[in-house]
Amino acid sequence: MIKEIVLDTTELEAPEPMTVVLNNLSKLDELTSIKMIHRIEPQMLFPILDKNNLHYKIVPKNDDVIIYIWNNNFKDKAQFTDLN
Amino acid sequence: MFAGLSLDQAPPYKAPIKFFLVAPIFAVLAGFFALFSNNYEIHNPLIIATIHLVTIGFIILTILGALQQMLPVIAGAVIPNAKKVSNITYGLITLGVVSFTVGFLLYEKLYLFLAATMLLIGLSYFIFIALVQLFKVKNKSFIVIGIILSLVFFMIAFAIGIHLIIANATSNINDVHYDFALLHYNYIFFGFLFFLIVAITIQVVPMFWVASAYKKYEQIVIIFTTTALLIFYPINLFMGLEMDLVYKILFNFIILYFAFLTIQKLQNRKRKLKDITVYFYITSMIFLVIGSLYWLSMSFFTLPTNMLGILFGLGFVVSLMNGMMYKIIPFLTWFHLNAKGIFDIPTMREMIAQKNMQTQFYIHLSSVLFFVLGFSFALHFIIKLASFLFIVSNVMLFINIYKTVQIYMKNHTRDPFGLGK
Repeated sequence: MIKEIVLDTTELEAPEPMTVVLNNLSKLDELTSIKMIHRIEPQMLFPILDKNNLHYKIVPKNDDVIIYIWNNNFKDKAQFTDLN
Repeated sequence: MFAGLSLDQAPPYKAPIKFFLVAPIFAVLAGFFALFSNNYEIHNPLIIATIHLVTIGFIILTILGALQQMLPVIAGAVIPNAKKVSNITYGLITLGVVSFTVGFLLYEKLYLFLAATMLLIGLSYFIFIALVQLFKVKNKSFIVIGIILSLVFFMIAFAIGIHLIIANATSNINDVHYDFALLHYNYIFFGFLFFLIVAITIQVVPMFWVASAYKKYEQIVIIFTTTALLIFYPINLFMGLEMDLVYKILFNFIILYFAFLTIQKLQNRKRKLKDITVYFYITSMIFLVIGSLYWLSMSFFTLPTNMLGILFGLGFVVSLMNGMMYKIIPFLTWFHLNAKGIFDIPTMREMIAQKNMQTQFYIHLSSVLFFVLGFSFALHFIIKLASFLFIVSNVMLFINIYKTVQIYMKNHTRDPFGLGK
């Protein structure tokens, strides 16, 4: 079954959001993606995702930013294509 | 195994840290010059040296340290050859400040010439490299645009400054000399310092204090109105439109709007833990507002100009830099140790004791208030007391940030994975 790990980091101060998301990257697999909710775009996270060949999509929502993260084997990639 | 934080995402630890460590030393020196000065006239060489030890020695060096650290965080832009760029910039600017001070104390033109050359090369070199990296950023946020504009205004102000020096040296003072000087002051303070602080604040307030982000329209209003006003200023000046008051009133609106938003965001932050850096930031915003209203009042009343330097320079900029250093240096320490796989270290909040920061905050605030009082009523003993407190405050600032550096020094050579065995 497809699973989404929701990481709400909106009430964490730097660098805790980074620590939280890094601790969860190893859980990504063909059935699991991450939905990170942040107040701002975490610029230093993106090079790490690129380096690990992970995919991400940034979606602004109200006052926050949502970052969806998944790996190459993730089965339900289609859900991210229509996100705006 | 996932690759986590990587050291190639940030400059080496020592690259920005040496700028932060030397800044309070220059501030202490400035305090001693002010303490032992006999008069506080702007043309007194000791006072000229004092002002530049604070503006270049403390403020500019802190900004350069912060930019090296913040560019990757804000824009994903890393300064290439960070160690070399840092060493060259640091060497030229620290020697430049020392030479500038000695030049004014001994009244030796050679030292002043050397200082001007070193400062010019050092600052232009760093800012040019930073601008190149910022222009390369693909999706430029308003924050990146703000930083680029502030650095461009700095370059213009610097070019005008050189024109003024040459005009003075060759005694070629024409009708527009004073207008160029006004443009120089405006672009240094509003174009560079205020603008850069606005851009960095928009990034760091939500990031470090769990406050809500600045909305897009808030960023647009502040950044584009500031730019428009700064472009309008020389037009008004050189075309003789005599709209100085309009310029000041509009700038006051922008400053009040920015300060109001920032204080509101800090007060409504989501995690209301006691944090002395918030005291520094709010104090800074209050002095920005007072300074701005004072600047406007100067159009209606005859008021001393040096008070503007105290309110804007010490009250607004130095307070903000103090608070910022207390956030950036623990962040820097955490980042570098974490990237080396060393996790059993104090958290950012634990690196500098709140009590020590609090004591330093009250001493800093007392110093600024005594300077205001001393200059308001021309009371020299109060100015000397303020100078003494300024020295104590900066010694404490140095000790507090040095404790964080010690955490790095103690831990960075450890081998957490036993790979060296």
